[in-house]
Amino acid sequence: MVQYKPRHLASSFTALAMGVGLLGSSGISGRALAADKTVISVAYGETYVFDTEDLTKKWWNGVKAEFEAKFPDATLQLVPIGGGYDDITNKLSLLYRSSRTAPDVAQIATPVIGQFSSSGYLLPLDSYLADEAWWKQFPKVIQGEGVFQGKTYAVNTGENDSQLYYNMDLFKKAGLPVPWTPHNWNDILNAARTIKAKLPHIIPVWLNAGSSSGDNGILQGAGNLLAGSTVPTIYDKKTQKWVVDSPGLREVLDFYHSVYSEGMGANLSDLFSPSAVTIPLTLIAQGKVAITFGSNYYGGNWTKLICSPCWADATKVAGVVPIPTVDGHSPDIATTVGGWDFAVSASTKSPHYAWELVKLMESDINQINAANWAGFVPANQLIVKEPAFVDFAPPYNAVSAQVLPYGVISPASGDYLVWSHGLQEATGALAQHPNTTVDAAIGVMSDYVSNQLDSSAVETLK
Amino acid sequence: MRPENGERRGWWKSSAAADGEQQLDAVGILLLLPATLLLVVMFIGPVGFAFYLGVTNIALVGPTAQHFHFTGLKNLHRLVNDRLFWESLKLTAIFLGASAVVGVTIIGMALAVLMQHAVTWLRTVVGAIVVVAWMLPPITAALLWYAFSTTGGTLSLLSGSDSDILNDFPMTIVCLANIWSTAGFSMLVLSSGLRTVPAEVLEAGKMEGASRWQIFRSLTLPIMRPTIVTNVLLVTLLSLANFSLIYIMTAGGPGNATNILPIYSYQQAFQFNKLAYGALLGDVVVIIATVFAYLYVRVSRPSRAGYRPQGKLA
Amino acid sequence: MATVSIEQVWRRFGPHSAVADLTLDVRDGEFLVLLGPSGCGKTTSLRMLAGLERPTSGIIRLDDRIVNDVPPGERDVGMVFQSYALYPHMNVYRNLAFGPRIRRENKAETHKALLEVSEVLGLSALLDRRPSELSGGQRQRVALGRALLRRPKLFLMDEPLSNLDAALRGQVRAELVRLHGQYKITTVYVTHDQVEAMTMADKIAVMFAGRLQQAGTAQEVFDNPVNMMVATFIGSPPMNILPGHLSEDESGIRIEVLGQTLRLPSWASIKGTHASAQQVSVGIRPTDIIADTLADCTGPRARIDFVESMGAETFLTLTCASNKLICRAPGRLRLNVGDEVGLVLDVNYLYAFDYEGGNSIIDRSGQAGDARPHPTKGVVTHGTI
Repeated sequence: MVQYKPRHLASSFTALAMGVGLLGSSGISGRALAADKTVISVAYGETYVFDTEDLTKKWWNGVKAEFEAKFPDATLQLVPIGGGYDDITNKLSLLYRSSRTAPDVAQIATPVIGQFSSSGYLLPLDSYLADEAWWKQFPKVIQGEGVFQGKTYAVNTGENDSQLYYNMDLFKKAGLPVPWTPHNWNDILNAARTIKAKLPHIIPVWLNAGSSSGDNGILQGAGNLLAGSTVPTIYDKKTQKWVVDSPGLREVLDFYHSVYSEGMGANLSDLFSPSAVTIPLTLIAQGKVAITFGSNYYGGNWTKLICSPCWADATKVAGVVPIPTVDGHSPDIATTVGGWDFAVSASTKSPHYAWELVKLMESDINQINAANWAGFVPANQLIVKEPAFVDFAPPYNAVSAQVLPYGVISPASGDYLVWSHGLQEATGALAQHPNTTVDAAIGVMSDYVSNQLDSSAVETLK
Repeated sequence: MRPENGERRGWWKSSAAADGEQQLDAVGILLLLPATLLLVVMFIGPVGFAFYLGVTNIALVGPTAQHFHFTGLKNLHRLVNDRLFWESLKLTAIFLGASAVVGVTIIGMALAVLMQHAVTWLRTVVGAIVVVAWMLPPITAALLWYAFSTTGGTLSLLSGSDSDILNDFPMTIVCLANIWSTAGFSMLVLSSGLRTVPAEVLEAGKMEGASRWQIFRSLTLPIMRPTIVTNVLLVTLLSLANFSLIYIMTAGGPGNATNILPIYSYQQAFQFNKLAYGALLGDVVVIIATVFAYLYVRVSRPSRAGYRPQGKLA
Repeated sequence: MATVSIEQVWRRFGPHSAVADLTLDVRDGEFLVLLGPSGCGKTTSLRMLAGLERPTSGIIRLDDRIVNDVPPGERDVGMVFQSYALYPHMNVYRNLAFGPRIRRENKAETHKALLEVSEVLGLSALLDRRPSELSGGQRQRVALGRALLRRPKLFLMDEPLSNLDAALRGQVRAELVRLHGQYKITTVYVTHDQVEAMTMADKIAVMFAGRLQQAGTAQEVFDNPVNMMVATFIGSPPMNILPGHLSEDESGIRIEVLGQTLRLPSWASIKGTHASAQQVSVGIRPTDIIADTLADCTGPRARIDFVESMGAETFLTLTCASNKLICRAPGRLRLNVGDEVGLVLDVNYLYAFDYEGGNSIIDRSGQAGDARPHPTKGVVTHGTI
């Protein structure tokens, strides 16, 4: 999840009309290619998931060659989907509307698996997974991201989590300790205050705010803080209500209030830019920001292979440390987790081959390549210790692997995005208007979510 | 408008048919059939379906993605009670009013007049610039204005601070960007309108001792009124469809400051996956566009005598 | 009412001179017609009088006041445009009242004057109509009315009849003459139509290629054109131009043309600088040639190429000694293509032009202009009589 997120250009209406047109369009034509061969189709993000399109081709062509060599009686048909995060979900949902166009295997973003499975599109995989040794290496939390109504519908193929990056040169200049190990949020704020006092031209903290990056901004920003707060609940399963006010949310928004009201945040044009989440990569390399709440892929991006941006001295300058919890409570590691999964279509005619394909893609080497080329942390806990992964971007990959099992996954409901947008607006208000109070920001969020989902769907946790 | 012989006919009769030259016969119907079918299949069908989707519970993905059903007035009820919708409607009106009606028309007219009077090289340069601005894809125009108006951009440098003008005055900036990118079109339309104002009529005004301003206000503007009205309506429709400009510059933000209806509709349908509600919001856009399109067709109905004005809009 | 004086006025557009060295006076109350083919500079001259164009050099005076820099609105000049230039969005009343309103004239007086002018022009019933609801003639009268309400010292009209059909044209022509007689406003009228010029003008100024060729009464320019361009432009069908030879001796001027030698009447003389024996272009109007059956004809013979019968008269296109010419014959003459006829040329209206420059060579100042003698025969000195 690295690339600049291209925005949808079609108006909703034309997109809708297009969608209507697609419903009746013909199926994937390759199915009739070879009567004697079984054709398996796999749909995946072409431009968004991997760091470059060349790497997308390299990985998927490799999978195709490997699969067809292993199963001479089968053909793998690649169905790349261009566009950004939302586009992949939108196009996949259109493909799934007809069993003729539904891909046998698909790469699906973790937050929408629940919606695809509840549509009846996906095949439960529990019986296949039962015997697989590699599956047992997945942390429980990640195994659980594809589980709905007790059945597992998806298998992870790479995660994104978050950590703190800090500029060691700037820390030294400001007289701060290096290496730096913040134990709670106050440690972060105090370090930022020192930076602000000693190095007035440096941005003390990059912390995503506002709605220009959509849920990405939450996953790489406020979501991490909420995960480390005293009450991290987003969706109250007991009452089936969305939490729009809680001590946890107030702790998060209070942190935002401190950062932005004390002038320790980045400028608005960068924060509210459509490509906001990728801007700190450059700012850190340029030595313009001291502390960054950032995603695991930064280290990989600075390598010679990805070069986005190239930064040969990264390891000498950019330190990395897990994000602590609000008050240092155990495990004192807080992060969101979000990634991509493989799922098998409920309507596939060859579940056997589909599963064989998933297995093949989950092989060690394919997962390591996917992780390095797409900026992922592999879910498999054996792989994360492999030198091929760890040494690809040291020390960053080791830390992102370390924090992964503590990750918190967002609720798998369509309404989560509404809640997320509410939180985005609250953080945006705090960033844009420094005199916004935490109460006011809670009000913004609560107003937005209850307006969108009805006031009966939200609650306040004490 | 005073009644004129044969000028007002029923809409179902073409003037030719009324003159007895041509009747709609079986062959005519046959020839119209493909176009009619195309219209039904490509336009009326999808639009009708979109209106239906607006009152269902269809989602982009999820349990109701395929098994959606009619939900009566539920979505309409939500629409009426949705503060963001009314806010969005207001923002849409501001965006269309400020940029399309006022901005584009006035700037377009000023440019058109300038083009008429300027020396050749200036005319060529200015004409080329505004037409290029108009020809630029919305993405380019949006990115240009984004860079222009955020911190470090020309605008904030000119204002002498590192303020972020785009986020401080989002609606103003997106209106300006829309004006900038549509003024070229407006200029072309109004320029050709200006050329239809007979030079001798203006000279006649001059002979009577009218000042330049009096000639412009009392002669040029009223004579160009049909062109101006047409232009306003066209630019309004263009602006309503100019989704990408705002989406790229602000995505409707900050907060909901530039959340015009097309953006809100997109957000509901394709970001929150609430296809039905997104469709309903899209339907509102369709209705607004239809009103303007209807007015446009009415105003641009050809008149018989050259530059004869349309009279008061009935 | 006013006098107009144009002195050495030039109007250049880049390298091109639309009007070159124009010097012309218009007397108080005179009806001057600027006549010439399109592009001759007549409209530009008119627009300079109106103030819509500025002379590049030279001086224009209205009533002895130099008006080169006076804007059109302050010249007390009323103009009728070729297209009438009515304000399309205003009804007739407001069209007429626009000028007075702009000039902030007294409203009550304007209303009164407006009704008067409408009455004179027969517009009273049309005051609430828009221009698009008027006929061509009615529009024309509104344009006139608008110019009249200006109470101008000078009336300018730019081809005001060219958009009217033929029948209406004659009628409006008469009306314009009547109005001019009634208001006695000095008028400059631009047209390319010689009939309009001949019938309306007190004085005709003929322009070609930006230059004034000749100014004079209709009869003067018709009977005594200064050069071949004026001679051939005025008169329909145009004057025949034939190659010839001019010589002079004690007995007078002789012209050789169409294989015969003609002696001009004794009033004729050669203008100062011209040599006495030279090649010339000989001009004679179709109306000054008599074509007759061969029986009683002694002149040159011609073969008929084309017969154009107009009823009362017939125009014949002829070939005579390899020259083409047109002549008029009586209407009911039974002539056919291919017939041969004899020609008689009226020496009183024989013209000679400088072969190269086209300027008139013969000084006709001694000719008694008003009494046109019967075509003179028997002046032929050579050939068979």
